[in-house]
Amino acid sequence: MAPKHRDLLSSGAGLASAIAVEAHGELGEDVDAVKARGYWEQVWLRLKQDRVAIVGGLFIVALLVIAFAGAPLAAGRLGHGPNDINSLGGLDAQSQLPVGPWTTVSTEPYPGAPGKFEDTLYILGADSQLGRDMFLRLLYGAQTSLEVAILATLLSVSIGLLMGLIAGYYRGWVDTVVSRLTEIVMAFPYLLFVIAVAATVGERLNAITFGGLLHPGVFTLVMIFGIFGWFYPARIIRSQILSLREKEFVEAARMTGASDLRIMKSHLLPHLVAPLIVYSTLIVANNVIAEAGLSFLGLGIPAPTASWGNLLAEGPNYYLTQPWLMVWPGLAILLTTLAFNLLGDGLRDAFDPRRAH
Amino acid sequence: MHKKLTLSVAMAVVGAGLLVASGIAGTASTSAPTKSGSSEIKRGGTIRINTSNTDFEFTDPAMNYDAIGWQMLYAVDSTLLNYPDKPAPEGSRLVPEVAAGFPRVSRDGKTYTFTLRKGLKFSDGSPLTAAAFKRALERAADPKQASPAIAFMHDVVGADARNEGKAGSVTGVTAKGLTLTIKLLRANPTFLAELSMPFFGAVKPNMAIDPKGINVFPSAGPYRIVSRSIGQSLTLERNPFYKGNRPANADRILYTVNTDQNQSLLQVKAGQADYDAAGVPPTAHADLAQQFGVKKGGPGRYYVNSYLGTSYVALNNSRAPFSQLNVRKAANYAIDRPALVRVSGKFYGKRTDQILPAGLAGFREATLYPIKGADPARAKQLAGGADNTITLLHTTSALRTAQAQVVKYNLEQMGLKVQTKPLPFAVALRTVSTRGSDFDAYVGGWVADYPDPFDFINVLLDGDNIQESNNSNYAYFNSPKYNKQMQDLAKLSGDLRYAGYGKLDIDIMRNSAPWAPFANPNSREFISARVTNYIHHPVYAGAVINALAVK
Amino acid sequence: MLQYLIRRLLWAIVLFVAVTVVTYVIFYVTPSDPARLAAGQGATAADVQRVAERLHLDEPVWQQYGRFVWQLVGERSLGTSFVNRQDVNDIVFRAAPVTAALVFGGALFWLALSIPVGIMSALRPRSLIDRAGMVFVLVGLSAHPVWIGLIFAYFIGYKLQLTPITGYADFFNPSQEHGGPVQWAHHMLLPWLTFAILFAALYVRLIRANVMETMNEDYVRTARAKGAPERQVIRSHVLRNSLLPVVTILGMDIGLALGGAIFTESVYSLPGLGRQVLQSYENFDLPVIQGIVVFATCCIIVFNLVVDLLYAVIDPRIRLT
Repeated sequence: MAPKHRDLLSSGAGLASAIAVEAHGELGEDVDAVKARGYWEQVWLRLKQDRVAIVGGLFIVALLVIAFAGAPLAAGRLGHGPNDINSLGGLDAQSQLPVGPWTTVSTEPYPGAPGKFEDTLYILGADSQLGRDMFLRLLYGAQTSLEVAILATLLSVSIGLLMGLIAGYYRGWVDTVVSRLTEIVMAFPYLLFVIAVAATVGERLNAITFGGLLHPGVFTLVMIFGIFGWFYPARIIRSQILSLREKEFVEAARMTGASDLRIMKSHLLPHLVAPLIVYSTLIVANNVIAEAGLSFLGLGIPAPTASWGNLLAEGPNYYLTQPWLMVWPGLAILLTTLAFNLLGDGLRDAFDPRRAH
Repeated sequence: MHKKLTLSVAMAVVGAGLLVASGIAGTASTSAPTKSGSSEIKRGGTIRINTSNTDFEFTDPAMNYDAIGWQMLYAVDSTLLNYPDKPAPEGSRLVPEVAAGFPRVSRDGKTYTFTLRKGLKFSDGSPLTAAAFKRALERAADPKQASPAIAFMHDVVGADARNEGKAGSVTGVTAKGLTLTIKLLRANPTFLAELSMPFFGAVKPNMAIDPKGINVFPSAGPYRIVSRSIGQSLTLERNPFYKGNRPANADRILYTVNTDQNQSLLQVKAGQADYDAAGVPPTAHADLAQQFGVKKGGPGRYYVNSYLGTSYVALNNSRAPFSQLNVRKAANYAIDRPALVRVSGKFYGKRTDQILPAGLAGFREATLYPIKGADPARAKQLAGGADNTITLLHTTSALRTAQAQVVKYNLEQMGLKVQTKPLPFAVALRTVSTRGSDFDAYVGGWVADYPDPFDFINVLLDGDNIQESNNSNYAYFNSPKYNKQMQDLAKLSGDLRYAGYGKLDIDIMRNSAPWAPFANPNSREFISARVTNYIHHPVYAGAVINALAVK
Repeated sequence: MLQYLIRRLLWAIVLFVAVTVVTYVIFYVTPSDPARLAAGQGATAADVQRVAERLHLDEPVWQQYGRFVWQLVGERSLGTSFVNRQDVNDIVFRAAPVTAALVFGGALFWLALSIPVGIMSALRPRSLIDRAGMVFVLVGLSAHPVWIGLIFAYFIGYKLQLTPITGYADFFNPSQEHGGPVQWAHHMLLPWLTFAILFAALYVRLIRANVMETMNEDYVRTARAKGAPERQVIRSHVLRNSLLPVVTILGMDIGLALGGAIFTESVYSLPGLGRQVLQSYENFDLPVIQGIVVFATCCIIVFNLVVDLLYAVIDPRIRLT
């Protein structure tokens, strides 16, 4: 066999693997020692003690509420939408650059236009040369970024769970095939794949919104992150299954004639819930960053839909003149990822009392 | 058009312009460009030029085919006829450079005979004879060299045969001492303009064939290339053997390529660099104008000059909904021209609702569509309930992406549903120029270097030229009535021609509206405090780098 | 050992074929027109056709792929760019050192930062340095690398003017005013820092956990019980064993970092592999993109192999089979 850590991580798991190394052993070992009864209560009790994690969790809840309920409310209150172009009011008349935070702007389409036009407030100023409302775009951008991050996490964790379960449980050639597949996917330069998808089927994929439920482009990114993100949870699940399947209770279940499916469902899955939850929170954080990265390179969410990455991509254009434009989306990403990371750490400690300080 | 292609495109298809007609008639002034150096302009020193986010694809004149490259080669190359180092309008009129005068043209217009000036030399001291130009043409047609310049030689006798490998040389070109004779298959009123492109500048008669392009070579212009480090830099020095009258003020011109636009702007402000040939960040213009004032030429730091170009939304006339006249007109009411202009910062250009750019011979101002701002109500009414889902194609450049968002917003206001389709340049080009591609509108632009309306009206809108692929008529506009009018006008000359084109421009836009034109863009350039003598060249749409001088 | 090597090499070849075939197919199905681009805007249909023949673009995709592999194996050539006809080998070997400088320089930075912080915070849990280290870890993990880059460029480069805000200076080419080792390091400082922060955060966490885990091992307790001085216990038992996994991960992360460098390179306008890929994408310059993919894949494969071997050398308990 290759070295222990090699085996656990195999090639190229990189960033994610670093987290895994640390987490491994601490999560897996004690899960089955905890009594099933009152398990969730205990976890909750321990989590409640961790104020930092609670703050992270509350932040996430607040963010979800603000993004999905607050954004439309704010748009209604302000009287314009996140994609409404207002380049007369939204740009400074003299410099023709975006207005700064807390500016009252006119919605007149051009000077002397017929009709009455109300003034409106741009809380964080305008976003770019198109004079859209940065504040609303930030809120709607939260919707997009969270949709991508959460759905992609669900997808990659589901695929990872399935693959890891199959590979770990059946071992043999199934395991080999899954491991090799993983290696190919990991060695493949996924940015290239994104580029190619964008230029070929991107347009059609982007148009899939499930009747307006998702923002345009979200589906594409979810698919991409799902396809290139499953191997990491798969590895963790696999290594856990490898040790679990040797345990007495699995042996016992097998002897009573339980089918493979039943063993997996009733005896193995419950033990995986804790690590899955913990890793999912961490993967969400990673996906928020990944979405912003792709959109920054112009390969992510298509314009005009706001996402934090799209907003951040305007940064380089304005950092000599409107440096605050790069601050908002950057801070939003920082705080959100931080919250998910804190919650993930807290959950890990809560699931594993030995670890808590 | 993307800047890097603008020059070539127009060059390929120019109509019977002024300069050519006058060349054939031999009536134009044959005086060489006068020395532009007034007493205050010093010679010497080094000029540092950045080209942000791009490198020269080639420096070999037979291969280079981009705007920054031609601007550079203009200082290095020496052509038979050339444009003077002067602003418009003189700068866009060809005068003899290496040729002693305009060529003798046979009565049937198929044989051109040039006589070269005596005593001219290459930068290595060797004499410049007619063989230099024969070599340039031979290299361009050589199949191994595979030069894009062959596209401009199809009328030269034997060029195609050479390019297909069926002949050992281009039989239509003969050089004897200082006399160069070129035979054409058919009379071509654009031939002199084509021959004046940097592709066909003088090269040493023994310059090798190399498909990768030769980076450093002896040249006969005011400057010579002394070194090139791909991806990093290019160094020009004054040609010690240059005897002509064109300016060559700095001792050295040092290009740093692939710089960052923001960093480059700071360098030019601080005097660490003198000029960015790839432009200034769009957000910097207001500040530069306020600090340094806006000039067209002469002493100053910040210059804004219009050039002959039109930015427009091509509406695909070949399919619904833009096959309907009322919807095309509605689009012209719907688009917010001021918003489209503001997208690229201050002084981006002048709003327009016409095909021909203001300033072009024949252009007549008319009020056709709302130019102060959009009129969505009127647009919606005109569109008559059209609610199709349309595909709006654009390249992935920041400028076009932003403009496409404005167009999308405006067209949705008039009732259409718009899917934007951003494509990398190469893919967008292929899609939009192939007949029957899946798109309804394309945000683009066109720039001419020749002051002739043919280059806009006929080239971009003559439906008889629509082929399977390689089209420039992105609107796929095909009206037999207008096709005929265009073709008739192309044969005319003088006032009749221009008045006719001016009228046709208004007629087409008012009654057929194949496009939604929105702006005539400007060239906006910034130089450091160290340098002076900025001249905006109308053909190469940028500073004349050999004229720039250190203070 | 030998058998292991052979198996790894065979697998590397499979990996290589899989990656290149997928790249080829992806670009083949995309409707671009490299021949027309190479022929130039003024070209007629016949001109374009001739260029297509010259570039072998008129052949079926499997023949083009076969030609590509043949060239690579037979002539060790990655081909020629459609756009500027330069050898892709040259393009890759011009860009690779920039990326390598970024990655390895960055690795030095993150190690220099994370090893002392990680060890200190493990030895003194809940001390000031531990808490500060944890905050750093969280922020480093949570902030977007692009954003960190922009903030650094703005404050350190633009406002304080301590470094150039962006751009690259060549190490060997002092003919330009911007060149030579000092200028080079000056330009690379911010990219290194930016690049290092994310990894440093991960490594602090990793090292801290490893050290803490090792401290609880029996042999450490035994050493302490024997009465060995604490200093020596830490040095020869704890550190030695807890830093071993770092070597593995480092090798893997350097491979991975090659891909991540694209962000740092585009924020700081460094002419590395990542930026080159993005530029070539605009022109759909397949040979260059393919060349960089091949090169990067090979690098990752080689790094992983080296790490395996290295690991076996440092840790005598491990036998490669």
